[in-house]
Amino acid sequence: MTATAPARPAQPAVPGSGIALGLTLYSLTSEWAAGRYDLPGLLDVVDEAGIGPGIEIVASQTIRSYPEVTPEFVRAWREAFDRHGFVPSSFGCNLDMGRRRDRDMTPDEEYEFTVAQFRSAHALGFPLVRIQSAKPELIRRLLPVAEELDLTMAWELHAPLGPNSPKVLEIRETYAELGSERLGFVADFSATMRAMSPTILRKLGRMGLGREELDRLQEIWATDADIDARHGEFVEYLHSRGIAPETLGSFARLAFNMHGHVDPAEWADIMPLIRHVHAKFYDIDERGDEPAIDYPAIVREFVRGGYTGFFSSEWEGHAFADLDEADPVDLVRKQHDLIRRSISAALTDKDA
Amino acid sequence: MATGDTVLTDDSLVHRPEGLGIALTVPWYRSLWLSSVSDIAVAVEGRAIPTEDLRVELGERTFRVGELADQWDVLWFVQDRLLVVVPLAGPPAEGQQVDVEVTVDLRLPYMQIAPQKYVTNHASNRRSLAVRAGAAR
Repeated sequence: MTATAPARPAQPAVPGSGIALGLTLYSLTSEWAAGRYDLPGLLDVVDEAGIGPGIEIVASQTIRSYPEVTPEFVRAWREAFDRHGFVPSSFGCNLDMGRRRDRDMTPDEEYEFTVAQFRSAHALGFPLVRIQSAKPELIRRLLPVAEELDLTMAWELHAPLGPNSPKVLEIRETYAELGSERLGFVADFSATMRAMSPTILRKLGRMGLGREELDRLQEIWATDADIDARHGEFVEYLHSRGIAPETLGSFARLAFNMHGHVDPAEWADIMPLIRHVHAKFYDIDERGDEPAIDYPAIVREFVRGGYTGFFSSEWEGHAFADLDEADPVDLVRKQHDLIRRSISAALTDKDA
Repeated sequence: MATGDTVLTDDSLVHRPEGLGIALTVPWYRSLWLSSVSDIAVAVEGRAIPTEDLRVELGERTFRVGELADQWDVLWFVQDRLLVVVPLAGPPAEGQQVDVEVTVDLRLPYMQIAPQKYVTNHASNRRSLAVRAGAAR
């Protein structure tokens, strides 16, 4: 087992705040999938653009031997990583419960599949793993492994849920029972959007939805029904318009899964449990703002709540934009400016 | 094309003595087990090719489309190409433009909706591309 790299502190984005910047390599998915970069090349681009120092990966897109890592991969990763002075922030695990067609994973298989990723995260020097299942039994079994490997386990709180959704309240309950510092949340800003992203609406327009259908989609989106109900209502509506839902790829459902509209003030309710942040965004407009995500309002909650940790920039526009239609590196740079500006404003408010 | 709907790229068509090779990208943002591929459908010059005539190559291994569902331990890495081999009576020459349509249906193994029920993706591209020489990467 490779020893864990010593935890290096990352400089705060703005003096006086506990927020440090960085990105998830997921932001460069299109370029990565097209084979434009190998891992050292990708990290070089990040360094040149100055959009570190926190680096997060999604294991299932970065690691060829997923869910395991080979000693050769660990060596190559260290070599490419360490020369930049980056800080490993989060290792994104997936739980591929539907890997087999004849049945779902058993609880033992879920545990083993996740432990393999925890070991990979540790070997690569990550202090935190993003997890996708918080079933109490699984969490209970994984906790000693996290202790052994010195990892924080953070369940990703993503749209369509918010900090006070019934499912999240159950997880908070489990966490309270277990009472371990190693348990917490990854807060994904998709949960607290003020509107559907113009980027997804543009994409759905290109896929064949007209003005009227897009309006109806946004009306359904803005209701408080759960995802299955909203998805069901939208599918029914599409059928009534003679549109087959599959012509929208996965978006007839994912439109509701990618964007949520919970009040940003709710983040305060779980602030001490937030261990990592996915600073989700889709676009930066000419004024330097994210059109559908109110960064100043969200950042204010995190500054007031005393959050200490990374804002890991997660540009998800690649789900809607063609390769080379947007420059993720430039967008992350602009988003970092927006975050810094929002932190400064929040610090000023706080002192006032 | 974005990460969820890109199947074909400019260099997708590869000359094969038995017909045509079509190199596919994963129409998703991450690597997937081959068992996540529910179906692959191909049409060449507007003519649908029977699924049982297709062969699917990943590295050194070859599968029929119907065998993919069982490959739960074979990872289609997001930077790799899945080569679909289409038998054609007159294989197109290198440099020739060929109109191909490829549809890939996925079941996303980590996005469970209910037991044994997962979010799906349906990606279909139709393009006219030049056939290039050599083995696909």
